[in-house]
Amino acid sequence: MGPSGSGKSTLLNLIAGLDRPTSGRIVVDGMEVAGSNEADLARFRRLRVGFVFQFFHLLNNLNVFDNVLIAAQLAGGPEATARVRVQQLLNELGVAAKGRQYPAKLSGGERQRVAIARALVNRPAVLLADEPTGALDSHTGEQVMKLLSGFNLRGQTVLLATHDIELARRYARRVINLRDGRLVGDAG
Amino acid sequence: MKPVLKQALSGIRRHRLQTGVVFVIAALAITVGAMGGTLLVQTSSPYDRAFGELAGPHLLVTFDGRNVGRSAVAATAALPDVTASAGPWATAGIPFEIGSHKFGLGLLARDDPGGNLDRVQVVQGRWIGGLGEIVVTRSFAIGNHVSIGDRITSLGSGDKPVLTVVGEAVDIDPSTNRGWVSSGELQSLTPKEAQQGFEMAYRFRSAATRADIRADVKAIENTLPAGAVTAYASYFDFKDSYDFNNSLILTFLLAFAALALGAVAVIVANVVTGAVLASYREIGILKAIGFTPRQVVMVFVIQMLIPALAAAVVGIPLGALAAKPLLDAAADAMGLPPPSALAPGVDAVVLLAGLGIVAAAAALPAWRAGRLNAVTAITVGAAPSGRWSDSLHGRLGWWKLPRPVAVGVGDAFARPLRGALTAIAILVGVATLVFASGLYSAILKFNDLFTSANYQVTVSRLGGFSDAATLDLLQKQTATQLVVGERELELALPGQVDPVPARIVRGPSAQLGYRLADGRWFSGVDEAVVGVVLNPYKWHVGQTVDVVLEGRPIKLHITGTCYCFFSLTLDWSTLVAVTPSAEPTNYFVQLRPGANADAYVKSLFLAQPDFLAPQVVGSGSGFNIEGALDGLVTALAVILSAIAGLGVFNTLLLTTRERVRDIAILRTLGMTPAQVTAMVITSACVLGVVGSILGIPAGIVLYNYLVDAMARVANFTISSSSFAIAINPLQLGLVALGGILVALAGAVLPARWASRGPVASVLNIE
Repeated sequence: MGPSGSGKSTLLNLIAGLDRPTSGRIVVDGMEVAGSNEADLARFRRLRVGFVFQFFHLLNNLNVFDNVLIAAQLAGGPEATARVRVQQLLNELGVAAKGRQYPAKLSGGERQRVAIARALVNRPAVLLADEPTGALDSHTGEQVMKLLSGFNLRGQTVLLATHDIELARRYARRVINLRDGRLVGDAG
Repeated sequence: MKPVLKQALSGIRRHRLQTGVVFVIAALAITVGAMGGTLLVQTSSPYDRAFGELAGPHLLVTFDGRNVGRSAVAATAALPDVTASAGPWATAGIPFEIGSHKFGLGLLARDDPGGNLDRVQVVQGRWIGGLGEIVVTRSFAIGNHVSIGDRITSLGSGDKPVLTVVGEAVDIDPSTNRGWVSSGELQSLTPKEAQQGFEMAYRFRSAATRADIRADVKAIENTLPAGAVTAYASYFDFKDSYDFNNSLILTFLLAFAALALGAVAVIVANVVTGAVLASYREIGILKAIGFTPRQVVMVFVIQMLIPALAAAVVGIPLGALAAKPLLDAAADAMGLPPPSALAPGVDAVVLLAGLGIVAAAAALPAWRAGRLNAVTAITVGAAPSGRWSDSLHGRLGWWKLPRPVAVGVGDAFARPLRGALTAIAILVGVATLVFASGLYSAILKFNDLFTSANYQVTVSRLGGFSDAATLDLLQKQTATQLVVGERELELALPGQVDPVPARIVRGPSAQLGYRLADGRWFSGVDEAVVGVVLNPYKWHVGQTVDVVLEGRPIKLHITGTCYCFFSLTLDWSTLVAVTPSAEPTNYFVQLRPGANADAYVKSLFLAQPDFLAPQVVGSGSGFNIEGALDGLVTALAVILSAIAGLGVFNTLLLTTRERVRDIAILRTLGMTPAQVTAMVITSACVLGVVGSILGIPAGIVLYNYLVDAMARVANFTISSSSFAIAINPLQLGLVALGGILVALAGAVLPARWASRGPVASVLNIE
């Protein structure tokens, strides 16, 4: 948790291997992220992390089902199994009825549910969520947080970046405070 | 206007790569345009152009110096129908040697190359400055490898004077073995027993038809003693000679120029349209801050016109430079003066057309975007349509393609208009190359068909040496295998003004091996073979035609059509039946296998240096048509490939820029750099395959259509079907593969950028 510019997004990007640190090491699930090449990082992202963005970042030219399925297809594995998993996640997140629709037709909350489904489809070791409620109204944001919390309660590690203290207090098991790129508190 | 200009200039600064691509493509296109336009203008009607530049005469007459004097010849200038004249110039046929090579030259004593009629144009070196110097025809210099500064020895007189070649020149007379010396020189070079004469050039009041020309010759003959006029050649003869000798290279140049212009227009339009379509979002923003639709259009037109204008500054001189060697080669082939590669009218048209195409290609999509409301423009600019990908992705899923490949296939036509325009650019390039390589093969085949006759030496008999003596001399040569005598005559047609040129051959002419397009070779009296070209009356096999041979009406039965540059070829028995004393003037000699044609010609020179003019077949012109066409097809392939490749590069650059966010998302989901590259390359491959596959039939259709059209223009009686096999499947396959490779080459950089670009910074900006 931390205010704008504190380094929350940068930390998540570093953990996901989307950015490279200028110094130091990053180890995720036993893997040295900072020293890996681009191809290894891509495979790492497919299998070990899922990313949920503030602005959803769905692929506008794919429908809902394909937006989730494409992550599973990139990870490899049987197509039929992937399709079952996608359908199961869409059901679980309450957007199964929107499977044939395109992102442009969805509400913000629906888009974020689809983004969560996509992030979880490969059963990642850690789910990274960068201000997942930042572009949603409070009611919808609350729904999204409940969903993430539910997954967390069922064993999914979730690392969520937010500037909302109230949100952190209500849902987080551990809150780490950042300011100007430095760790200033860890309420473990 | 200030904000419009400011916005346009800032657009250029911000989109430097895009501007660079527009500049390079426009420069290449304008180069091809200037080159094509210059070729189109400067090679069309070459004879008419040369006739004007050289003040060509209607008639050139040669007089026998033994039967008429200079003053009587000069007096013919005063005949009532003569409107202009030049000469008389003394003339003589002189044998020469350079090293071990002997040759004959028809020399004209002429001090001044200028004048108001029949001018001679020096194309290299200078005109004669005095005694001991000679200027030769350009075609003779090329064909005999004679250069300025070479010293040639006259064999006409005992003291064997030596002349220095000081210049190469052209005039309207297409015959090759000619030269000019100063008026004081000719006498000392001429053998005592040789025929001396005069040549004079005329223009007449009435010279519109061959009949008019014959009447003019008659008028000259009537004022002079019998036997004064030994020969004449009219501008019809010269024009005919140019027309069929040069139709091949000219049709190719003209077709190339027209096609290249069409191809570059399509490609430039594609690139500029693509660039503006990619800026919809920016257009929306401009409108949101208060730009009117007209101002929006102006911003993009100026943004595209500035690099196009810079391209024109580079492209027009480059085009002229590129056209120069081809113009020179074509002029050399025709023995005409090389036309200037600077054609201000053409350059102005190319400049205006180039800028016009760019402006229109920029204005149309900008106008369309300018009419949208700001929010819609921003939205349209942000995302490709979904419907397309819906059906496509469904089908690709069914094909079980790897996901990056499937996404790449969908991306190729994510913007259908842009994808289609890029595929069209490749299609046009492939079609043009199919056409060019087809025509190139056809021309070589055509050339091969027309030069198929199997004789190696021609011998012209000059006055003073009998047919019997000539035949005896030729038969005595051990290398001689076969001799066919030949005489050229004009056959009058009842009811027609213009006669038909005919060639009458004596001996086993069938063994000369002329290729037949149809029917059989003639076998006796009153039978004839008609040429596939110069067949103005469209005579065909089986037809019987009425003609007048040496004043007597006869009926000729057409037995075949041959690939030969003569309207009619008939057997000697037909002429003998009318004129029993007729003799050939030329002889075609087929040599025994392994005999050396040059050595044969030399031995004839030694045996009879004055009255026989032997020549190795094909040695008259040094112009290498295959070399010129090779160069042209290669240049065409390189330029069109570069333009098409840049077109693909531009499209993929726009697509990857536009999809930078999507690519970043895919990389976040675990797409490897290799998979991103595969995705972009797949898009290019799809465009290349579609363009190439459609380009091949389009090229064949174009080829058939244009070859038929050219055949009609050239009065050929053969159609493109005769040349259908000229395009072989391997060539087609290579051209198609080339189209795909060009598309892939255009994709390399965008693919690299897409796979290595930043991810986090793209996704964190919204």
